[in-house]
Amino acid sequence: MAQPVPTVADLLEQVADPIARQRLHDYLATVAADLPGAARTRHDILAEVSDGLLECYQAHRADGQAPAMAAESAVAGFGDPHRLASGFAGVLAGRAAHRVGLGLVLTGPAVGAVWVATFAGRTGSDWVTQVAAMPSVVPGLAVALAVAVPAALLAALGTSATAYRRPLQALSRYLPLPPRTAASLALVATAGCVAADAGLLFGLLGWAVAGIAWTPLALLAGTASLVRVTVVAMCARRVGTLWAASG
Amino acid sequence: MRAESLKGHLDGLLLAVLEDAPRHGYAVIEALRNGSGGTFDLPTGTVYPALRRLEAAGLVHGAWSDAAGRRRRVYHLTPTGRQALAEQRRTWRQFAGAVSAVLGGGAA
Repeated sequence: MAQPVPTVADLLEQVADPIARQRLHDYLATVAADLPGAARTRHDILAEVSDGLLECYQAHRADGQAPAMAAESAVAGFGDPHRLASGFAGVLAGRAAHRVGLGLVLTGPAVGAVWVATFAGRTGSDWVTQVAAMPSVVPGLAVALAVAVPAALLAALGTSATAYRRPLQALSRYLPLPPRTAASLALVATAGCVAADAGLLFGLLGWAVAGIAWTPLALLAGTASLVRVTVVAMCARRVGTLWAASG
Repeated sequence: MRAESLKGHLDGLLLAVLEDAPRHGYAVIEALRNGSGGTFDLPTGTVYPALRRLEAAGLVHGAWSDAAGRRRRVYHLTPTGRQALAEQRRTWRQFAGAVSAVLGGGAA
């Protein structure tokens, strides 16, 4: 069975001098306070930074520095703890933006197809006619999609997760996008998606008000949009937190 | 040399350092410093997030392993990372050649 990731306390136990140990602990506590993201991710990052800080401290001790001076040198070598945490937040923001963008790009056509089928079934139109009619059926849908789709594509393709892949290397001058930019695009795409889904759901409510029975397809479309809005809102909250922490 | 001077080249340098052997974060920093004769002495806080970014890009893979009785996170180059490193080298040779041609010889 794999050994667990070491904790900060485990690592600092190796520092005998109490003043040095407290200095290193205070530095790591500042980093920990600024680190955003899931608990497991924060623990993993902090363990790695702690290990590196301990290595740096031990290197200065091996050079002959006294414990307190070695701790100060190690902390100075690592740099501003807020900036260090912000750097990690940037990486996490880029990763979250990629996931949100990819999720929207992959679910968009599927959810859209169910809605088109729903309205086509109601009006008796063929698919092509119904797709063309959707913007007039749901006000604001065209604008929401015009905003959401490009933003989602950029968030999905423009982050480090994909920007180094061969087909995109021609754009290497512009990619990868800075993490905050990718996160902003993910938030814009989310807002557009929520607006589009909200418009479609209001359309469905309009049917109920008009006494039009919901077909099974309409129920499926409504459920798909409700689930997507909920999941997307939760993800947007995380992206927003990471965006703020990476500033 | 300040970290800002390395902007745009840091990724390639980190990939090159990992080319020969897997290393943990602090070892990467030391290899950069020693390999450059002390020119690249980066704040440690710059390198750790950069390694995580390269991992998110699939260019390196990081995993916890036991080394000399110590549990540490070690990074190694992935096949995609090797391709990216080759591309970085090609781009650098073009850039360096063009700059040298324009700047000319001059007095040392």
